[in-house]
This record gives sequence, structure tokens and C-alpha cells, in this order.
Amino acid sequence: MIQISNMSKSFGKQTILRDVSVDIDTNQITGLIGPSGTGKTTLIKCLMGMEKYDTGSIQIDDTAVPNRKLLNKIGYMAQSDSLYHDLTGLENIQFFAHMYGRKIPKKAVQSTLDLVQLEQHKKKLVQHYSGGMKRRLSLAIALINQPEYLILDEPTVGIDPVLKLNIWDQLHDLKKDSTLLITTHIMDEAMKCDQLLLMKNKGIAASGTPQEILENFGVSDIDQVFLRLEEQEYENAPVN
Amino acid sequence: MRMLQLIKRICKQVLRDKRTLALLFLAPIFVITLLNYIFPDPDDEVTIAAVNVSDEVIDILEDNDMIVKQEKAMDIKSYLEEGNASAVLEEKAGEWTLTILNDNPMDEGPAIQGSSQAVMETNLNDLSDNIDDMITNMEDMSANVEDMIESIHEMMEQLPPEVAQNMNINLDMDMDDTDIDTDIDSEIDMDEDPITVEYIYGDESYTFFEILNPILVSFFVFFFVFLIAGMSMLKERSSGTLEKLLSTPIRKSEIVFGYLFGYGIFAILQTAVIILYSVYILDMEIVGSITNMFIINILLSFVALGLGLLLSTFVSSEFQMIQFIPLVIIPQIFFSGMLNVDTMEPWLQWIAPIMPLYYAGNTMIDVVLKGFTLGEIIAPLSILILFIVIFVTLNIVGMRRYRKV
Ligand SMILES: Nc1ncnc2c1ncn2[C@@H]1O[C@H](COP(=O)(O)OP(=O)(O)O)[C@@H](O)[C@H]1O
Ligand SMILES: [Mg+2]
Repeated sequence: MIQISNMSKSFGKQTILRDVSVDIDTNQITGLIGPSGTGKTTLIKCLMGMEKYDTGSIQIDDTAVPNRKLLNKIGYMAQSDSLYHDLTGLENIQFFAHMYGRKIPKKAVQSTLDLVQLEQHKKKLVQHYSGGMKRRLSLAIALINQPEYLILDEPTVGIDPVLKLNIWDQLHDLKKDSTLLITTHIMDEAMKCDQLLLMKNKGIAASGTPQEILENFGVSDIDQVFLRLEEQEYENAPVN
Repeated sequence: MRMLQLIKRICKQVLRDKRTLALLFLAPIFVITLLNYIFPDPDDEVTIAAVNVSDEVIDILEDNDMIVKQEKAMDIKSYLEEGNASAVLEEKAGEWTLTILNDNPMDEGPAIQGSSQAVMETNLNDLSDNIDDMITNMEDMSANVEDMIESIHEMMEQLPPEVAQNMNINLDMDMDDTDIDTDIDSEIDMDEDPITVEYIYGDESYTFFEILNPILVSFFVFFFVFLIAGMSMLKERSSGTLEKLLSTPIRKSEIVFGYLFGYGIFAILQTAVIILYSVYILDMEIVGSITNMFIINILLSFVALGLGLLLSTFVSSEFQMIQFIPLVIIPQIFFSGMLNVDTMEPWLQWIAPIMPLYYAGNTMIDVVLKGFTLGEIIAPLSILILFIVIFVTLNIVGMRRYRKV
């Protein structure tokens, strides 16, 4: 269980997150949805202990973040591909697997490679991978330590539709053992999440299951929710 | 365990990168070889043109291994510009003039030195000739005086005895006394060099390169290791892999030490290649022990690693890394033992001790040319170790930028 309470974060004078409080439940997929630049990545980096948050608290399984040991149970996929281009796909996976300091069985490596359909490309240097292949390799690396928490920053960008569906199926399978937090700015992916956190105006503007949110706003898709939020903001703004 | 895997990965990457390998091992060898042949050999002869110069001076010049071309009066400037000689030596009414182009200190230094020595020697020879003449004159004089006394005696004998008695001149001087001591030792050896140069370390045959080479060895170790460590850390940061690495439970110190030892392996190999090449292929003379050379340069390479990793955190592109070279690397050359720090401006003397190459370069000279033992170089070595400790600490602290624990 991830508990964020009254967390604020600013870069210099620019406030990115203000008083964010949210609980993320276990064994489901929580989608962090919002337009680019609303602070999704920043929130995730605070969760990982990569950025220092200014006030409030973040706890994962009752351990305060930042904590190095906590990282043992987190699988992280950054927004940009973080791969060694001069190593092969397999070497990348093996290297990061070793960083978790425990033996990761060959079978686990193999099954993650199968999951992202990179088995026949594993001996290729990453510099010869396509964008989608790199994304999939990054995902495989995030999964390699069989983490309790899987934090994925825009995992499906640049992946073709068929494979994207495939990956979403796999992510739902992972729910048995893991808690997933996934960011995206692609609204139709939102419907695939169990819980949604809509980010707007330096915080979480709405939360709940996709159905609840659509009903609350009386609209038929998530895009319109953001339009509504925009309108509300406009109406609430002081007249000048 | 994690550190070992990191080291393994770095080795794999470096071995696959042929350019980096070439930069590490071939580039320093290429430059050192080039420098070895660029600097003139002091045994090479310097050519001097002599205008209206006596044979005596020419003989001395030739004795000093110079090639002398005897020329008539001419346009000295164009003669030198055409490269006919390094200098023109001229005598006019006892005044000596040496003309040089002043565009190549390497050639002209020996020409100036040789000519002034030759002129000085002839002057000294003239002086000793004069002294010889003087002595001969004096001998003649004393002989004359003796003759005079003799004739006075004869004269007196011819005078009437009473007159002679009245005059009562005591001429019974001991004739030996008049023999003025003219046995002046005129055998002062004038053929020797006016100055004998004693070399405390090494001998006359040291080329400039031989003094420079120990410094260069250290410089290359420092430069290439700095560049490669900095560049690879920069790549790790800009590709996002450092951030990804820090999302695993690896310790920040494990990353820094992994990098230090991973690239340290190549730094040590590079040091070995440069030193062995200088000593065995280029015949660099070493008075001290080769082990001490290794110790100095391996420590220095770790300083370079630490500094490279550290500075790479302040840059966002390869080009910005290159911008550090004139700021951080080039100034260190001047303090590395090539120039005497003691005679520099006081504020420069304060700067010298913060430069790792100042310690490494000067200590290399101490070991290679002066044969210092490990005990005698322990102080600068400790300072290099201190540099390593400082840089490693700063690197670990600097990683906080990417993860707070
Ligand atoms: N290191 C940083 N320094 C300053 N501003 C930053 C930094 N990282 C992100 N920001 C700013 O924070 C805001 C949110 O960025 P980000 O969290 O990446 O958004 P998202 O992931 O939702 O697209 C942006 O305006 C961005 O410019
Ligand atoms: Mg983002």
C-alpha cells in the first residue's frame, strides 16, 4: 500500500505538486492520467526517492520514502529508455537483474523476454532496436525482479496497437502478485485501469474507477472529463 | 557483487568500443613517439657561418662539434632565412657580433652558447699570450740589468783606485739578487673550456625530451583517463541509465567504486603500456625504479578518474566536457615540473599545490632522473591519495542528485 499525504513539491519558485494526498491500493492497476507537464513523472520520482519532496510524507508498506532497501520491491520503468546501447538486450536484462543482488533464475529472464516478445532479438545490440523494442526491453527490465510494486512511466508510448493490447493483458495478469502504478497521457488507455487518478492543477482533481468518474462528470469518455475540469476552472476563476 | 557486475559491464563496453581503446592505448604512444623525434638531439651539429673570423676561433668552434661555414660579407637576414646556418658570427675591429633569426630557440641556444664560448676562449688565449710576452720582456729586462751591472764593474776597474774608493759604491751586491724571479709559471693550461659544467643528475647527453618524457607519461595518463571516465559517466547520465541504476537498490558508493575500478583496470593497463613503451622502446633512461613510476601513475590515474567523474556531473554534452580541457588540464602542464614553480609569481605558487599533476610530474622527475626511492616520495604520493579520497567522496555525495538515499 502506497500512502501519500499532504505532499508538496516545487522546483525553485514553480510549484508542481501541492498538498497531494492519495492512497494506492494493492493488487490493482492505478492509472495516473493527465496532460503532459502536469507532474506525473515528478510524482513518481518522489515515490522512488529520486526527487526530494518538500513537505508531507510518502510511505510504502509503512516504510517512509526515501529508503534504499524499499527499492528491492519496486520495478521502475522510466519515461525515457534507459538502456545500454552497446550491450545486447539480454546483457541489459542480466546486468539490471544482478543489481537486485539476488539470484534471478534463467527461467524468469526467459519468461520476461517471451512476455515482451523479444526472444529472437535478445542477442542484438540495443542500438539496433526500434523504438518499440526498446520500450519493451525497458518493461522487461522493470519486471525482472518480480517486484511487489511496478511503477511504469508511460510504458506503452511507441508500441504498436496489437502488442499494446497484449501488454495490457499481461499487466492485468501481474495484478495477482503486484501493485501497478502506470502513468499515461493517452486517454483511451485510462479505461483499462482499475483505478484512476486524474492530475490537473498541481494535484489530483478526481479519482475513482473509470466508470465512477464518467458517471460523476456525466460524460462518455475521459477526454471530456478533462474538458469539464477545464470549464470548472474557468467558471471558478475570479471575473476581471 | 553488484560492484563486480558493474566492473564487468564497463569492461565489456570498453572492449567493444574500438575508438576508446585506440584513444587509451594508441594515442599516447603515437604522441610520445612523435615528440621523441620532434625534439632535436643535442648531438646533432649546429651550423654557424663565420664572416671575417680568425682561424683560431673557427678551430675552437669546430672542436665544439659545430659546423663552420666560412663566408664573405653578405646579407645576413636572407642568408639565415634561407636556412643556410643557425647563426652568423662576425668580427669587426675586435667587436664580435652573433646574428640569429630568433625564431627557433632549440637551434639557436646551442649556437649562442658555442660562439660565445669560442670567442671567450680566444680572448683568454690572447690574454695568456700577452702574459707570456710580458714575462719574456721582463726576462729580457733583468738580463739587461745584469749586463749593466757587469759593465759598471768593468768601468770601475778602469778608474784610478782613489776615485773608485771615493765613490765607494757598493757594487758587491750579490749578483743573484738582481736576478729578478722571472720564473712565472706561464704554463697555466689555457686549452681547457673556460667553464666546466658539472651535471648532478644524468649527463650532457640528456635531451629535452628525456627531461620532458617522465612528465609526459604522467600527463597522458591523466588526460586520457580523465577524458574517458568523464565521457562515459556523461553517457551514463544522459542516456538515463544512471537514473535507472539508482532505481535499483545499489548503493551510490558501489556505483562510484565500480566506475573507479572498472575504468581503473584500463587506466592501469594504459599506464603500463606508456611506461614500458617509453622505457624499452624509446630508451627512456630511468635512474629510479620502474615500480615507483607505476605507483605514481596508477595513483594519478585514479585521481583523473575521480576528477573526470566529478566534472562530468556539471556538463550536459560531450562538447562541454571538452571545454574543461583548457580550464582543468592545460594549466596543469605548466605546473607539472616543466617550469620551475619556485620562480613563479607568488599567487601562481599558491595555485600549484592544488594541481594533481604538480605532484605527479615533479615526483616522476625525482624518480626517473634523480633516482628517488619510495621513502623519499611518500609525501607527494600521500597527497595524491588525499585527492582520490576527496574526489570519491564528492562523487558519492554528487549522486544525491539522482537519488536521495
Ligand atoms: N528537474 C526539474 N527542474 C525544474 N523543473 C522541472 C524538473 N523536472 C520537471 N520539471 C517541471 O515540472 C513540470 C512537470 O513535469 P513532469 O513531472 O515531467 O510532467 P509529466 O510527467 O506529467 O509530463 C514541468 O513543467 C517541468 O518543466
Ligand atoms: Mg512524464
